[in-house]
Amino acid sequence: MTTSNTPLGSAGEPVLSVRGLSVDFLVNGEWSTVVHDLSYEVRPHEVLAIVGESGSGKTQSSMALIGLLPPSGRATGSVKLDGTEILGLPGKRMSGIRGRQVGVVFQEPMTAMNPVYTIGFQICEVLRFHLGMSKRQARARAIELLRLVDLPDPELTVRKYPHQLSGGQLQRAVIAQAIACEPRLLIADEPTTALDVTVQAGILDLLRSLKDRIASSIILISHDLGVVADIADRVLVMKAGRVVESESSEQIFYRPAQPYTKELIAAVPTLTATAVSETPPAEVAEEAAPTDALVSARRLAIDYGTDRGPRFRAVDGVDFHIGRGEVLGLVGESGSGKSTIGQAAVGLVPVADGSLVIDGVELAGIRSADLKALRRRVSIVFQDPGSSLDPRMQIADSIAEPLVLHRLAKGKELAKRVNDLLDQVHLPRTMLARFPHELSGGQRQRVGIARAIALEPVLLVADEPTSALDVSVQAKVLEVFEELQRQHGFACLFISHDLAVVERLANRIAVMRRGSLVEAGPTRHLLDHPRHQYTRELLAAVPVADPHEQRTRRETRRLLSARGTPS
Amino acid sequence: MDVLPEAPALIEAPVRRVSKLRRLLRDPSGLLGVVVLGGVIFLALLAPWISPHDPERQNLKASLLPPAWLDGGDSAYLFGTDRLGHDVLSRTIWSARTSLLIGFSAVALAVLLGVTIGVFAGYVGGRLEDVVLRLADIQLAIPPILLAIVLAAAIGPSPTTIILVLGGTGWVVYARITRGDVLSLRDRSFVKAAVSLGAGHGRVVFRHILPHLVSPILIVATIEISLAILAESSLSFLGLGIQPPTPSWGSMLGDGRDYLASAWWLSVFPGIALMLTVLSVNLVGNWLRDVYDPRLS
Repeated sequence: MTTSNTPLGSAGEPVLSVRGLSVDFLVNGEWSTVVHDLSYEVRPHEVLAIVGESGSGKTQSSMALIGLLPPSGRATGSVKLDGTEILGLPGKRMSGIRGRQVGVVFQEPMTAMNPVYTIGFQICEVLRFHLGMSKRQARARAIELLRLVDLPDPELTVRKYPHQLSGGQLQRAVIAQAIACEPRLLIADEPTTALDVTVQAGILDLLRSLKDRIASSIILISHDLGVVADIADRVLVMKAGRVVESESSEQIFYRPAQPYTKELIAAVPTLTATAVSETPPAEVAEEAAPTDALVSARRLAIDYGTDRGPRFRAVDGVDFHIGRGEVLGLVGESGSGKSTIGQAAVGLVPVADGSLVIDGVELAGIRSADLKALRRRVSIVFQDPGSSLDPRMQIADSIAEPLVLHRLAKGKELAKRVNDLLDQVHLPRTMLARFPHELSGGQRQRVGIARAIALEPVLLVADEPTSALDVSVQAKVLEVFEELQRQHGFACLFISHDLAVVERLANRIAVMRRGSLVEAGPTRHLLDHPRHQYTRELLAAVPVADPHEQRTRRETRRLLSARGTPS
Repeated sequence: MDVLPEAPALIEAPVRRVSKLRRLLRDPSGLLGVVVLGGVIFLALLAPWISPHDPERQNLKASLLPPAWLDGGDSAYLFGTDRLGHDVLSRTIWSARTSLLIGFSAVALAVLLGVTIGVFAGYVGGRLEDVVLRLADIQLAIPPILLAIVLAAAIGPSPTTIILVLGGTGWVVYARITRGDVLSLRDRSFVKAAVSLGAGHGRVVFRHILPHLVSPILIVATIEISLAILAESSLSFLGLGIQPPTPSWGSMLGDGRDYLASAWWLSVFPGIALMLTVLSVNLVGNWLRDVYDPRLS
């Protein structure tokens, strides 16, 4: 095992060599090809990023390497690991390679670990199966591994169950499991997609350091070019099952040859903030809420939880305001309470304490008749367009629903209004009779937006409306959104974890953390002169699609975290 | 209910949807079920006109005749006769009326009770839900046949009694399914979306929740229709259900039991009719579920 830092792309024999790999799926009795003739190599200590949008075949082609295709799939071609052909090995011999020579890190750590066993047990299982370690040896090694992935108190963590760890910690445990046998190759399938940006930054640092410490090469599958810029040595761009471009990271980001690659890079929303200036200017606090604000929250507190389970205070003592026609970007990590505020604004969860006034109506203790009247003027777009449309209703019915509910139109007039709305979100009218599952994610979200603006709301709550979409689709949906906002002039509470998206849309930004507002201010001002340590960390953690820039940001982040985090 | 009946007419047909009839023709098992069940219902409706004899008329001179195509058979009695000279064919046809009536009514009653209770329990929650769940537990602890025997003794055996007993005890499974699904549907974002648009409880329940319950309820209901028909047969077999001389498949099987060795036709023909009906109800149920799912169209 060598730990020398070999320069990029050199160092002898490739660890993995893929030649003419094709993946087909049996659909309705016919083989249809989802990956066409894929060839690439991964050299020692190298991080190869496979980039593409959903459906590009990036995951299937990687799962095919180690025989993890679903039963309806088949792979042909040649895959050599250290010079030995491994494609199509019988089940037993493939099991000896998976986990031993090739480790896999999945997207969602919560589902990658079995909830009924401890972390330690699941790591030991791998060690005992592949390396024939005794119980005691395996346990000692498991603790060592947990230390290697920087988990606190490894002796304690080893006895914990998956639900007792946070998402980021759990992903570290999954990585520990994947590298338990010091594999030659680590396949990481969107390892940070389910995590918050600050946590993501930590996981990426870990992966970067691991490839040197355990001499493993990494295949990183990702849709996030920022992540790729952060860690990849070489990048393979895929589209519709074919390679578009395969070059060094530098080449891809600074001199992309193919139009698709250029498009992909251009579609990434970039944060233009110079971000992490060292000396925060001593600015005056957020201006007091103007008296004519459309939305104003005073010491707002919201409890979350059902009537069946315990309640906890998800939002506490939050003050903010939104002017008419203004877009307020609400950012924060998962669990910060930002979505809860959005739900409270449309009356889906009650205000527990304090006051939330929208368009002159107080939501604390509101009567249901008043709430119904308010819903005529306030609407919401949800995060997951797949589940926010009733799967048994045709698109026309979904869009028409608010108009029907408030008896604003019927018959021909209704059909006309629905057609208008469809035009406004740039969807063809042929979509009307379709069901949600017959639409793509981006199309569904447009339908969600059309439904939300049907009532000409004065306030639109957008709860992570594009986070479930591919970057190029996201870019188009955001365009539609901006256009509509200009036309209709509604005020908007735009909730997002993505600072770059918020920067593009919002007039002002409010940053939340653990149920409280950390700071708020005009977009430009807040991004350029963040006052709060947490805002600065958040800014530094956002990956940008630029390897050099990313390197400097890493440095700043290190400096920031060395200073510690006051909360 | 249909919000936009004319909208699809304004536009060109976008996705090619296969008509329900086409899909039925393409699904052999569903087709078989529809044909057989349709045949049974047809026979049941037309029983007074097509059955060759009065099912309740005795003819002691023609007792225990074998089917017409066997030695000693009488061409007037195609499926033979029983001990009292009843025509087996006529009784088998008339029995379809009793069995289908009881099977469908009992399940309809159970579904109506169960879904209503389940929706209230799941949607309202709180104390009501606790009460309903405990009631369901109590109900499950009482064997329905035992209850049927008690009720039959108390208010007399009749088709109504059977329907009330089977329907009144069958609600638990529907209430449980409904409550569970309502709980999960209530938190789905499309339901929240409807609420945020100003939809009231009625609309949320009828437009956004109940349609999603059709598949699971249909699956259980078709199995339960079969079970209800079988339960009626068992009760009648025990002498607690349909009283002679009214024919039912169960009582015919019960009567035929003593003659299995000597006069098999007494039990075999009602048995086949019962089996075909139960089977076809299940096939039709599967087909309906697929037809109702927009994702499969």
